[in-house]
Amino acid sequence: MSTEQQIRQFNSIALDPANSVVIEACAGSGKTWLLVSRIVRLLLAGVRPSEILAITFTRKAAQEMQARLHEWLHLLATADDDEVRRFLHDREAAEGQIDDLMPRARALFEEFLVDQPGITINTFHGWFLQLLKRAPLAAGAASGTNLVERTFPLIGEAWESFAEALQHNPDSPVAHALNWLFESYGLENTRGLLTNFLAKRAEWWSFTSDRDESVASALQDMRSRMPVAPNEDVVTTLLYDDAVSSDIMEYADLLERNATDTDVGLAAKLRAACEETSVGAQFDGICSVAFRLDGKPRVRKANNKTEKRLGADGQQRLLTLHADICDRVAEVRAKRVEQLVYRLNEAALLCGTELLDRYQSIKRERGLIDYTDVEWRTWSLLTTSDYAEYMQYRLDARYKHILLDEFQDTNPLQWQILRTWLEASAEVQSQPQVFLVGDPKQSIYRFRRAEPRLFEMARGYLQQRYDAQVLELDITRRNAPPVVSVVNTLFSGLSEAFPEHVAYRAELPGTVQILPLFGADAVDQVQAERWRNPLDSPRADVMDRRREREAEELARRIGQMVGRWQINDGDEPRPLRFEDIYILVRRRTHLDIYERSLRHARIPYISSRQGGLLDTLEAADLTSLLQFLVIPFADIHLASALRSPVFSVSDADLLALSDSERSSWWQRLNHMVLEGRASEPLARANKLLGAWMKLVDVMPVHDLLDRIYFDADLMRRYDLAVPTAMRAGVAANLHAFMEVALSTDSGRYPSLQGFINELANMRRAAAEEAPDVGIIVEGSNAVRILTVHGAKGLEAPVVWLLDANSGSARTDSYEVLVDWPPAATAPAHFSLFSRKDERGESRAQLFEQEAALAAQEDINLLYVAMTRAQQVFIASGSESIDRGESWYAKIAAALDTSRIAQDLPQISETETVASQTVPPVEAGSGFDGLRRPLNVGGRSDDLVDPRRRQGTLVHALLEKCVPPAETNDPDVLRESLGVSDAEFESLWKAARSIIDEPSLSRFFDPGQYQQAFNELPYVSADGEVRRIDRVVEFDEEVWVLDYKTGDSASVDDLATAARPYLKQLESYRAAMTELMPKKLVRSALIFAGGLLYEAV
Amino acid sequence: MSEAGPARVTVAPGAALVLVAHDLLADFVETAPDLTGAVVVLPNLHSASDLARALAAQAGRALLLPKITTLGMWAAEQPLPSGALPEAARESALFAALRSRKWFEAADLWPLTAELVRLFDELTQYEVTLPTTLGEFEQALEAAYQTKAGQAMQFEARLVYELWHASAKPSDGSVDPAVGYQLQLAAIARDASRPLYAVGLPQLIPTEQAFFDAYARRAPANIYQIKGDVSGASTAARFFASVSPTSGAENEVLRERAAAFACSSPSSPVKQSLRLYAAPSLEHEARAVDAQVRLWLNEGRSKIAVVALDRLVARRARALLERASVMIDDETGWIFSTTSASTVVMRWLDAVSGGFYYKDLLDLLKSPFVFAGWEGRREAVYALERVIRSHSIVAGLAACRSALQDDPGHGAALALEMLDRVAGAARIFHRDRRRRLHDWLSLLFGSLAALDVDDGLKNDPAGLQLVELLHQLARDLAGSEETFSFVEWRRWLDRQLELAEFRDSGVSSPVIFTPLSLTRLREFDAVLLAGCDASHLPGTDSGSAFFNQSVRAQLGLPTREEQLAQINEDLTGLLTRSGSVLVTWQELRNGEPNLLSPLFERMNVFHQLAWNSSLEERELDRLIPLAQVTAPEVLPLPAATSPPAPVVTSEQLPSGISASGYNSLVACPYQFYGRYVLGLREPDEVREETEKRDYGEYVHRVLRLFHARFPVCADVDREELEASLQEVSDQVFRKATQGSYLGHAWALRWRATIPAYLDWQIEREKQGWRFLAAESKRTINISLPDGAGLRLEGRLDRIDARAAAEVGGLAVVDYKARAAADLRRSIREPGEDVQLPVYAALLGDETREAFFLALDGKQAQAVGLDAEAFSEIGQAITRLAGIYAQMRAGAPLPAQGIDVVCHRCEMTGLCRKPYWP
Ligand code: SF4
Repeated sequence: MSTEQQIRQFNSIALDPANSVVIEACAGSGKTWLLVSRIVRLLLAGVRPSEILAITFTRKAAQEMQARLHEWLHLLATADDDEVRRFLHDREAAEGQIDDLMPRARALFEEFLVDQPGITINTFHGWFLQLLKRAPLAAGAASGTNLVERTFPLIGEAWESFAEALQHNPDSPVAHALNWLFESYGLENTRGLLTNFLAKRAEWWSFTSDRDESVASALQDMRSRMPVAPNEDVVTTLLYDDAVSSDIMEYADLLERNATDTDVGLAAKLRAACEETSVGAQFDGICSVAFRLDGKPRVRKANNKTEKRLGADGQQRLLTLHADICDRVAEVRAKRVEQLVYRLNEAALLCGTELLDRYQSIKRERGLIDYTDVEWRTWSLLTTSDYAEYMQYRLDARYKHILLDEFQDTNPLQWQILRTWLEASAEVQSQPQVFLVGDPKQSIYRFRRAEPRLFEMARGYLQQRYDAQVLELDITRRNAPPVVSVVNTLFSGLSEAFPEHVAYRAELPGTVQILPLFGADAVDQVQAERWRNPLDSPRADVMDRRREREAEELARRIGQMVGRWQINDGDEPRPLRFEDIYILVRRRTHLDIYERSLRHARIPYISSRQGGLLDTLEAADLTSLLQFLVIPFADIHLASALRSPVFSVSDADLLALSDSERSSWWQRLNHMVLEGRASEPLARANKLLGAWMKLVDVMPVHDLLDRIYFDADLMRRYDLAVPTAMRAGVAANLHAFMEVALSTDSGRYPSLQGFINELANMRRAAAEEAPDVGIIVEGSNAVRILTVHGAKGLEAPVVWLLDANSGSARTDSYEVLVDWPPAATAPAHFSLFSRKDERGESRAQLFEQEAALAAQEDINLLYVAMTRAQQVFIASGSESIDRGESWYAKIAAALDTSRIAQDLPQISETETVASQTVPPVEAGSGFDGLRRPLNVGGRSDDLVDPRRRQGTLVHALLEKCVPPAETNDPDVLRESLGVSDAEFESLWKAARSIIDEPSLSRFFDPGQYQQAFNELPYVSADGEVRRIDRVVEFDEEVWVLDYKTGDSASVDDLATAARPYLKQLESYRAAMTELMPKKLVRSALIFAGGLLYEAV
Repeated sequence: MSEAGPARVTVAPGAALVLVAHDLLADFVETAPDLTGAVVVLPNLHSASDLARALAAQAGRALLLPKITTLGMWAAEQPLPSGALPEAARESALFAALRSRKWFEAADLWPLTAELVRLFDELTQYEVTLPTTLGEFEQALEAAYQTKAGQAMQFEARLVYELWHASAKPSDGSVDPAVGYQLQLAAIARDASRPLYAVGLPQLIPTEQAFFDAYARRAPANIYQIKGDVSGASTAARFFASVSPTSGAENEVLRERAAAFACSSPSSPVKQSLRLYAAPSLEHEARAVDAQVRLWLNEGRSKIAVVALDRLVARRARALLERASVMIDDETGWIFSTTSASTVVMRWLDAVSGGFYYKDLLDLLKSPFVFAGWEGRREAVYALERVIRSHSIVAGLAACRSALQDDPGHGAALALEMLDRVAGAARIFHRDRRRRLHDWLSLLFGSLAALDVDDGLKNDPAGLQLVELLHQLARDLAGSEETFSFVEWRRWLDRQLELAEFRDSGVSSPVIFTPLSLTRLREFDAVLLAGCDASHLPGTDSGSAFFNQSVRAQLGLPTREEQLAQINEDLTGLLTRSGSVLVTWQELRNGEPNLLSPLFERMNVFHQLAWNSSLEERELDRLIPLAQVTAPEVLPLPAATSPPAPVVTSEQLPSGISASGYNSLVACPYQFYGRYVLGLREPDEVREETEKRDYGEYVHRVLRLFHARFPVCADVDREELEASLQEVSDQVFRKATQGSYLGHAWALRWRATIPAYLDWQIEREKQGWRFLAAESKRTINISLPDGAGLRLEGRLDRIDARAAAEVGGLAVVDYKARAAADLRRSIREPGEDVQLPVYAALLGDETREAFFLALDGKQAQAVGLDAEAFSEIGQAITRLAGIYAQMRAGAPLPAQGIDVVCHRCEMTGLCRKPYWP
């Protein structure tokens, strides 16, 4: 069968809505295409969007899926008939039915857009949250569903609260347990251990969910598996065994008789040990005789000399005794380790659960939940009585199709939840079809609790319960044949089960290259001068030097490749650009070195470090600047801000600032400016900083930052100051920093200091919780530097794996050991462990299993790294002292056996890589008006300015209390104005002084006039709406009254006080004359205290 | 006056006000220009001026306007005979009822309480009565859910049912707001006399429908409903109607509708007026808003609406517009928690309830609302901050106070005065017991007054409204008797500030930010809709905690569908009435694809199908960079960054240097420059826990005290030694263990080291060494090649001596709380870590040994200079002299640390290494 045919056959099964399907699909095989195609087929088959649930691993993937679906439905709605037919044909719609499907295909988009509720494409967490929000009445779900993504500060608070409780209760068992941990492992390790326990809380809850006394029962479990009782005194038992002691004595005798220096020494040691008073010391002494320092038994072999001295039998006896004693001692030692493990678990579980309680209650108090809570609550919800079924009808639609992407990243709890859901669906007679896609080879998220073995388990489950079709897809559309070939050689060498991949684009040119390891060179050989002069020669670091050379080569080659190598973009050949190159590293530790080389070579790069924004210099600059604004005596912050491009002050200026009497730098700067001694940059800094300082407590952080960006012309200045290679990245980070300010604390107002504290918190948080560096807008032509984890799901024409010869990270200690067999509903084992030599035999098999899984994951990581490359994969590294087989060695081995073309086709003409700069604005281009301030709008502070406030409120009060208004009750009036009693008192007095003024009574006493209006609205002929404070109609005349109660005028100068208002008054009068033509209209102003001024 | 109810007129969007004006003038031709006899009900008062303009235009003269109002305002004018039960009081009672049932363990019940209130209001508004027995209600739900009742559903039924009955009418006859509204409208209808014109109201609830029916029986009532597809509607109106047809036309698929429309209208009615702009990021979107608004202003448009569905964009755009001095008339409400005014209240409560944790305290006192008008505040706060940092005070007013007294510096007196006032305020606020919400608020007011916060808030628009809000709540709660714990009250208060909105009404401007719901009937010159992605428009269902959509429909409650219809109506109305519309959204958000709102997506597809052209706008991309307002001042511009190498004069160089100074000079001359020439230090930080460096200090102190007591250990009983060392340790570590329980970790860590230390000490004495001195300050003068001198100085942890009878001589010991292996690595290159050579040199020619004593875990190990290094001590000094002379002679101090040094260096901000080419 041709590849094409294979694919067609595969698709026709996979996309058929009638099938449940499980697919293991290799990297680059187009999983998203498949999944979204399946959704389209479902919709075509009449499934409502709301009946589809698609789950993927990241929000980004979900969004991308959603976007792809839209794009395709859009195409179906708008493309011409042929294209739509082709689309349907590609997705294996039955030939005969395509024409019938056309109208439906055409209508799909609109239906999809308006259908309510819509399709659910989400992550597990997103979906769980959705469920929880719909089930707030269920157990535990009522308390808040505010998701916290950053748990780091909360964990810190939990520690504080934990410690505080112990402070009050230093004799509690928990305090003793903690002391024991402190004493045995120190603060950092203890903290690490318990924090790791916290991270595995879901497993812990699962492990103990059906038990009452969780810690006690977990320990009970542990005891039952131990070869020894926790408190058994194994040493005493050993030493009090008469046979043993006589053996030991005999052994000592033999050693002595052997008469070598060593053995005589050992014999003496042994006898000394037996003299010790404590059994512990005795045992230690014996151990030191039987074992070497590294913990291994001393080697003792038969030899001629010994035989001569002891005779054959004597030698035999010595060897037997030695072996025997070693065995016995080893056994006791092993038991003691088990006891230690038990002790550790006893203490750590006691403290860990207490800490966990604190952590949970802190969140509960604030109505917060974290991702683990989301999972756990969902699990609890769905396993509580009939809630799982209830949820099925509680949602507004029932899922008829569930699609799962990246299944290898699922964790056991998520799978349990899903299974419960599926089983409950069966219960309410709406069993869905399931479509599951994944690739265990790409499982690299064990640290996020993903369990790759679930894949196989789920496959079996779905096969059995859902009659699912099981498919494998090993055709990659991404990688060129040479890449595929190396991948095949490498990975089938590592695992027999590795399915050979087939390159779909057989003609795509490509290459795999591995550079020779960078090692020590001549310069390093010359021992660095011992007493070097730091002013003349910088220090050299050997390992760094190697990486530096690797970095130089990287930059050199990139410089050569870009513009010359020809790559295929889609099917179009074009010259290679910077943005086509991904640089991958396993860890970010040494990136500085590589980045430096790129900068040096002027190769633009973007280093998207997860959570790295706050580690960048630009973020540090801004933080320093803000910090200075809140603590003006923090000289170092001022100095940093001054040196940053915001002010770009020279060192000479700094020296001038530092150089005088004892006062803060800021005070000195002020002085220098006053005395006219400041340089231009210093004067500018002084002016701007002074202005910003005034805004600190007044403006929200974001607004302040915006002022800073604007006033300082910050973007432009950074652009000038940073190396070309970093421009795009720095600009993006500056914007990202602004966004952090915009969205901190979900838009709640932080004070500037609060914001700075928050930044510090974020920075301390684990990398994955801190804000990411700015996302660079598409189209910036720069090399991307990523970790392999960060590159998951991405691809690029050229992938360069750096530092490939360094080993994987050291194995963890002070961690939690969990064994959750994929099919089990809960972990089978849960315990904590410490140093390597304190792990105990009884768990050895589990540790081996862990190690095997970790090793597999390391291989998976390499698989992911290599399969990112569309055409070119390059690996490089430097000689290292790390032991163990590195990726480099693996790749090198695989490369030997395959014949690979050296380079990609090159193009003759070098494409000049245009640097991207904003085109300068030509003067007079018509935008001048937009580049200047407009001065539009104004603010009135009627209610803030105390004098005007009084006026405005008295005015409002009069409107409410003089007829025809009906109320007169001060309480009601006060209420309606919403002011304090005291303020009302004064308003009321002011109002009464007018109403009660005898000379004005004719305007306020209904008995004296025909009718009156408060706030009489009218519209002028040109459409302006006006309101007159009061209009009073008498038999002959109409009075227009305007209150000016905010102004106090005196009887003598009423005319002066009135002058500013006369024009306005006249316009009222004129309007009323027009509106009430039959009467004489008179007009007057009424001032505070009831003074009337009639306009004439 | 009609039994058949009000007269209903359908009218196209954009034509409603004209038609009403026309009808009204016709009806009132007799009394004109006096229209005061009529009542016009509008969806919002913002459209009143548009109506007035329409009236004036048609009448061609000035007019006395009719009563123009909204239903809500009109109703509110009517007094309620027995008073209204305020929302806050209702929630208080309902919360207590819910709490007493203990259904939810330790949950925050306020959100659920609010949900219930909302549900009960809806039940009232929609005139739904619950069945009289729980059983019946369960059955009703069963039928609605179309399933058999299970435990979960029974609980839902019971909860709603029980609380509905529990919340039944209070004894004083006061009524809840929904009932009140009913009564008020009924009262209006009872006295109806003036002709009524209701225009463009959103979906009426049954109460309102009943009102119009009743009104119509007494006086003429006309309802003008807006529909896009009525005859006489503009092409644009028909376009929008055809894009999103109301029920009835939905069978016709989009393609056909588009084709049909294109037939009747060969060119697009919206091509010029409606544009969709996809921004690649938040910043871009905000810039697009900014540029477009200013473009419109430049064109002379005088009423521009920005409907910002995404608050972040709104906030960002507002800042950008303010750069160009464009002020915004902001009709959108900002919840109080986004204002600095409410933050000060929150911070105060945090500070009081958290024992005056230093961050809360400083944050509070730095707010300009606190001690408003007191000149000394800033100075006092800085003084306070200084002692908090230098004395590492984690919490407590008393601690601050005594630190200020012990260490009075500039401003200390002011700071003390300030602390007194804070303490005074704290005394007012007791958290000792449960109180009524009202009483909690009173305490709050009292304490805020003591801090002068209430005065401060009055100077701020948001603050003013906040004070009013809180007082209003207090009045509303005056009659509520339920009591609450501090935590419950605090949550309640937080919620109030999360819900209540502050409107800044002080600005008048041609540029208005407004929510979509407030645009009904209003006319604008240009409209910008920002944040129009799928998540904001129509947005996700906020949903109710109770029931699902079909159950709601069954019960007769409004559903999501009606909500959506409303949004759609508002939107198409706005689009129809506006001549220029720009719609923006972020097609990428946080780097993830972000979809356009389906409402616009459909419009765009329709447009493409009909006229084969998209509504997408691309021109703005080119415009935005050109339309930036330029900063007022730019010079002098920075140059490209390069590694600095400052030159310093000999006066600027410090005249003395320590071992760490020398080390810094070796590691990176620029770092030395920053630390010792510029004299920059990281500001003190409050250390909330004992840290490693504290540990080092403690150990030093312990050993100093111990050896003061036992200069020689050999002749003392071992047990006594241990006990005594332990005793000294306990005393020294007390500060750590008292501060936090975690401090015990350090004490225990040291305890583990004690035996090893004593072993080492005794062994050392066996070799003839005796403890001589601790913490000894030493100085030597180095003469430089240029004739000047340099002071080399240091404090030696410990000096040992050996009697001349033996080999004689001195030894310098430096205690390190670090692993020996670590130290071994660091002394392998004595030229890079000069501490021991320098110490040896300071001690003088008698020195025979110089070593670190690594105190770590259960070990005490000496790690010292080997013979070769020891012989090179002179070289360390010679090199230093050489470097110093060079610097004095004008040699630059280059920045050149290696990465490991730089990662721990605080001068990166000055040397700017990450930006070097
Ligand atoms: S960061 Fe590095 S180069 Fe810069 S001053 Fe510090 S040590 Fe020197």
